[in-house]
Amino acid sequence: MTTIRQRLQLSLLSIVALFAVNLVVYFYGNKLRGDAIEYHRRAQSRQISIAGIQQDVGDLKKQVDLLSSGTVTTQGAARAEDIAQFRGRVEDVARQTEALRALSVGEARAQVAAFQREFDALSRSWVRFYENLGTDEAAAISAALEAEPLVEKVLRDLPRMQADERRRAQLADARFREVHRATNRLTITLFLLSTLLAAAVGFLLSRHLSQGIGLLEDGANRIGSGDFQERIPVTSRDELGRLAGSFNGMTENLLAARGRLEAVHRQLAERHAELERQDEALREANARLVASERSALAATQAKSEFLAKMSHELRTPLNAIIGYSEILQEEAEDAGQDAFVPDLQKIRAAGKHLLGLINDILDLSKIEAGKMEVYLETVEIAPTIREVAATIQPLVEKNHNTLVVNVADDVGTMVTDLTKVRQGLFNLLSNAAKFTERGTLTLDVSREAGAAGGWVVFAVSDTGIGMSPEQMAKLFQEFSQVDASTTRKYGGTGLGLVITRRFCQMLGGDVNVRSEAGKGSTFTMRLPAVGIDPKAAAQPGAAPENGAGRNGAEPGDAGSRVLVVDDDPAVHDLLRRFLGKEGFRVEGALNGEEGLRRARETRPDVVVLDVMMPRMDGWATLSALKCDPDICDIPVIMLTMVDDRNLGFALGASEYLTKPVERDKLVDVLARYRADPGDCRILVVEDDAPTRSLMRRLLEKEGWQVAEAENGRLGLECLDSVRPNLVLLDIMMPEVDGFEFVAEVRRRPEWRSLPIVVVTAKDLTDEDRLRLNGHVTRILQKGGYSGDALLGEVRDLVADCVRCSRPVAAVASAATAPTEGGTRAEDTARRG
Amino acid sequence: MPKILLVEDNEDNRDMLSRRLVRKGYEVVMAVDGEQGVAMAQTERPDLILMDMSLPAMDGWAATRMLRGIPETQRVPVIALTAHAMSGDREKAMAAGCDDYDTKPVELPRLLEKIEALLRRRQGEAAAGA
Ligand SMILES: Nc1ncnc2c1ncn2[C@@H]1O[C@H](COP(=O)(O)OP(=O)(O)OP(=O)(O)O)[C@@H](O)[C@H]1O
Ligand SMILES: [Mg+2]
Repeated sequence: MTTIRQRLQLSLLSIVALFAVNLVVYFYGNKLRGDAIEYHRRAQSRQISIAGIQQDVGDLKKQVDLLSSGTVTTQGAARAEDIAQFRGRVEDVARQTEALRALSVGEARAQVAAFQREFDALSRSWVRFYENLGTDEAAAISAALEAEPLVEKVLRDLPRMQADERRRAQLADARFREVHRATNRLTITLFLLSTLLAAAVGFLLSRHLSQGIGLLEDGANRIGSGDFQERIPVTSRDELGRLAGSFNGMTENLLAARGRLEAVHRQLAERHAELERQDEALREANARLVASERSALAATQAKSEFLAKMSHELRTPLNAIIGYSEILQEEAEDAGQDAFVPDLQKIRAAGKHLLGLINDILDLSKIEAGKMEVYLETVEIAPTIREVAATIQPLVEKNHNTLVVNVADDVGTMVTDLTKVRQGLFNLLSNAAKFTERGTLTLDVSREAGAAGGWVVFAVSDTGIGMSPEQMAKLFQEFSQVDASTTRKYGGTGLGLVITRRFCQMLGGDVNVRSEAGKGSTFTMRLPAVGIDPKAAAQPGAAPENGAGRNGAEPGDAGSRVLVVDDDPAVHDLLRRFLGKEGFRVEGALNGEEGLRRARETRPDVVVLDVMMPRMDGWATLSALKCDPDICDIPVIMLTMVDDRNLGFALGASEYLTKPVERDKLVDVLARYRADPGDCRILVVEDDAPTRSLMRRLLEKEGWQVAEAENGRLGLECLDSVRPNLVLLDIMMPEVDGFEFVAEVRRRPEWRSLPIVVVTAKDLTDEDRLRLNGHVTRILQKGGYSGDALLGEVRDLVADCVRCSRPVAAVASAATAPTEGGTRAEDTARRG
Repeated sequence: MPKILLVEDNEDNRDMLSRRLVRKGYEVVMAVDGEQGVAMAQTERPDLILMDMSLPAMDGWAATRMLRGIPETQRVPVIALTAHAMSGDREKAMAAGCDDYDTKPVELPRLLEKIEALLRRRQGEAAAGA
């Protein structure tokens, strides 16, 4: 027996077989009973028939006896009809006997046959007797005598047959009873047997099953609780056995898998340990680096300071030399002593040259020490160019060159550091003049479209000696002139271009060169029309190495800025790629501290923050971000492998995304935090109706939404419903004046960072300014402002404010009257 | 003949600039530090002041602020002179109340232009005030 199924089938089969046997027995018993009954019935009918025959034979004998004894005499010969009648009766008996024989079988039949023969002889004797009676008496008597023993025998045989039949009937009866009893017993036995068998089979099977399943369950439980060594005993080879077998197989697999997992785990742990060691080593190396960097920086600074001081010290006597040679020259000319003039000119020129060198060195050391400052102002481009061209003219003529200046009509103004632009132009032009003889120098100035006012491009071309590609490769490196002979032939130190490039980069632009040896060169300065915070430009990545391929993130681009804080630079790259296409500008920070610093400096629109970072992790960074009132309003999106949303939201995260990053999801989420300069509401609080409507018209032309309030009280009242991004505020107003308005607004936490720009006709005293200082973003003096200037200011501010939703450094304009104790914005601009 | 007050601590510079200005037809009075400069501005009543910014005792910024606080000198134009075109110097000078700004070593023609422009403006104001 192998399987439970087979067992079940077999038991069922045996039960069915038993049942069949039972049936057979039943039918067989029935048949036997039927046979016995039939036999009995036949025996009975034979008895009756024998009795009948006996009666008839007796009657016939009596008749014959009577006739033969002569008691009864027949008249003459027996009448023919009597004979026929007698014959009929004899034949009747013979018929009965024949019927009896037909009824009998076996021994009885033989008996009957014997009887038939006897009766035949008798009947023949009797018939002869009858026929001769009356006619032939002797024949009759011999016939009668002849019949005598025969009849005796027949009458003896008949009762014996009778008895035999009775015995047979009794026998059949006994047989019937016996069969009946036997079949009954058999049926009952079989029934009991099959019941018993069914019960036994059921019991055994269920016991087997429950035992097997129990074992399986136990095993499964133990395996489930982690004991993979456990095996389920395989007790049978049936389904349960097989199940247990496969269970064991599964456990085996699990054990193997766990083994493998453990191996992987061990490997990981080892790797982790190794990484930690590496990390440790890196940290140490980093610390050493930081230390050496610090000392290097200190050394550089010391060097730069020394140079600066030296330069200053050198310059003072040099100034005297130059000044006195100039005076002497002037006085010699006045006194008609012309012979001295050329020598004096030479002294002066040499002094000027030396001064130029010293100034260059000073500039460079300042740049290196990070002390070069940028002062942005609004510059009228065309007059500046005229002035530069005039100044450079003597140098141009020196080598018999001509200078052609092309300034585009639409060139207008730019916000930049004039000194640095001028210095850059001087250097490019003086280079062109220096390296060209009897040629043409061209200065082209034009605007180029782009974000935030676009670009102003200054191109200085010459038809001079030009440079080979190898020579160009060495350009822009400190103290590098394209070859040593240059120094001998043309003088100079090779600092001019370095400084020019550094200046341009500080202003958010760059210098590029195109040149061909022998044909000439073109140097192109490309500067943003609205200069940017040089601190931002000095950041790595923001100031590109050269002008090529800088189409993506333009500084000053109005796109939303995303600060990615993640220790994995690959994530920066990824997000830069993902988001760059969507118009976001992605800045990166590799750790929490840097992230915080960048967030404070650049005020991004959104911060995307990782959790698992060395040292200061994402949680710490997030809390620090949210604790700093200056930056706590920047939305933070957690982007991490750690799924701990609740903690994230509890610490103030705006969104929670898990790595791996899904591009669409990320872009979707970020789109919600995108700065939208179009959707900007400005509240104008001003009591003078014409001014108010003028401002409204100006602002609405820019596509901003404008709400008006007649005085400070109304302004405060509508603050919550208007929810402005910026407030333009007059100071002198009835009811609640500007000062009170500012104070009240700043008292409310939700409005603490609302940018407020004061536009007032009042001559603010120092005390007034003190009251406003730190609370308002900007102070614009009415009257000193044309509509355009105001609009320009406001536009800048709106761009900034919308980007940052709070007061930020506005670009200082020359149009502002600078004052002591200026506002925060002005301070920032000055610092920058 | 317009009178110019030159406040400058460096003797060479003072000497050179004064000689050249005199030759250009100005009357020049000189002070060697901020304090003296403020005092002389009140006593000499110059038409214009050339103020070096790095001065001993009281520097040019402080001196200028002070001049702006004194009614007699409030309206006298001041041109700030600084050693090198330090960015921010200009703004600082303007913030202190200077009217213009130039760098040293002076380029005489440029400085003269500035001087004349301010003197003209001063005259215009005076005429309007009168
Ligand atoms: N227009 C030009 N044509 C040919 N070569 C040029 C031109 N401009 C610059 N160069 C090459 O680049 C070098 C570096 O120029 P840079 O202005 O930095 O230094 P310099 O003019 O030699 O010295 P400095 O400007 O400090 O007095 C030059 O020495 C020259 O070899
Ligand atoms: Mg040069």
